[in-house]
Amino acid sequence: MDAVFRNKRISGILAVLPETESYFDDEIGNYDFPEKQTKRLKKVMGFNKHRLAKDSSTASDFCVEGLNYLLNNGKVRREEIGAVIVVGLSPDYFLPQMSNIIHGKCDLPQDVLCIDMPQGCCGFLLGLMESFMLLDYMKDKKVVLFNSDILSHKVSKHDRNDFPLVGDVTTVTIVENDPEGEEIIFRLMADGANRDCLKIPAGGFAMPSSAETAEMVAADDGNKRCLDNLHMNGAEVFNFVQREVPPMLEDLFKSYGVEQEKIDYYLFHQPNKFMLQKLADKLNVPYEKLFMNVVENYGNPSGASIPTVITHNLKQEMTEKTYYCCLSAFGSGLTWGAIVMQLGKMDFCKEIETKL
Amino acid sequence: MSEKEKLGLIEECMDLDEGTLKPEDNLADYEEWDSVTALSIIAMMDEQFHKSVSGGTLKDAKTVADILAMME
Repeated sequence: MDAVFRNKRISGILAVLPETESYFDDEIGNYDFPEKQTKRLKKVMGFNKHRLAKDSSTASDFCVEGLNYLLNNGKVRREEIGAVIVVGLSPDYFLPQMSNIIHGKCDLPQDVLCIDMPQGCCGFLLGLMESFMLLDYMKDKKVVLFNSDILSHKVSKHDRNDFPLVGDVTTVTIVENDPEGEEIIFRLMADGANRDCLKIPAGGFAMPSSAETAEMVAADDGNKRCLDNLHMNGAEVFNFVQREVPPMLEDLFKSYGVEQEKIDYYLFHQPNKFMLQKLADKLNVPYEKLFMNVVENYGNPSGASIPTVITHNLKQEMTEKTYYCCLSAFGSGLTWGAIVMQLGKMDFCKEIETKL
Repeated sequence: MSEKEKLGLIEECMDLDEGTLKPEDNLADYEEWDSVTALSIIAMMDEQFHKSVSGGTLKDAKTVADILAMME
């Protein structure tokens, strides 16, 4: 699907980080692989440390902490909020919904629209799309977009394939109408035939969690995981990203007359350094325009990756100037897509650390 | 590209010294034959030969010669 949005802007981004940092080197003993091998993985993928939510914390805890911070610091007022959108794959419950939990805990007005969207890696693109569409009916009210996951709770600690890369970050993004806002180009693609490349087999209605689904089994790739755990077929996902993302972007630029040399930053989903380097090479983008440093500092924060790239690398710049940016994400679904838009002159762009 | 050069590309993906691999070698005998190597081979095939190799195809490869065959 393609869409062109007008007169919208992102006016602020807040990243909410758990305080716990876990280092790859301290986790090597959890894996049944020769240490030399595992160190090679670290070097190639760019692993170093990642942020992990405490066992007792839920995704909504991070969202509430983030929104309360914004409310208490005058970054947004309750009566300005028209909608709350929560994007992620780690709901506290099947019922009630995340957006309603946040609505209640942050004491929001009754006319605020509450929406949950289960989405993974492309969660920021989908969340922005929904925000832009809603804003046509919101006049001067704002959308509060949460991208929140604590997928570390769903990954086996004995799985070298999946654990080193998870990172728990929640972002809160304020999206609003802007009469001066320039054109925003949006594209999203899907390939449901390959949906099982990223999967949590048990825990839904198809296969409820049970003692059997919690049983740890040695997989044929040498890792231990259970059916309750998230698993990614890394080779297939990498192959898919290499195959689909560069032509999709090239076609998008061509179709909408985007001059690639005018793009200041490529703000991409952050799966690992290796994949991002290969993407940059294929797109002929210099590495300094395409940040790859989120995984080594936080892990892969799923749908919160793009806003986390921004708060980590451009916190000062984004409040002062405006930049022409290409946002792109790819992953679970399979889903891939991009947004080309101006970003900047934000009211705030920062990270906070929590005890969660 | 000569066979030696192709072997060199595979050795690079596996982080092995030059001249280590022979076509008849069993991949499973190398502890370097792992998920990182799989990603490196997929990237190398794309860069050098403009070929899209799936993870499944790589899993089916038994010997170094099987990889060389993909580079034709």
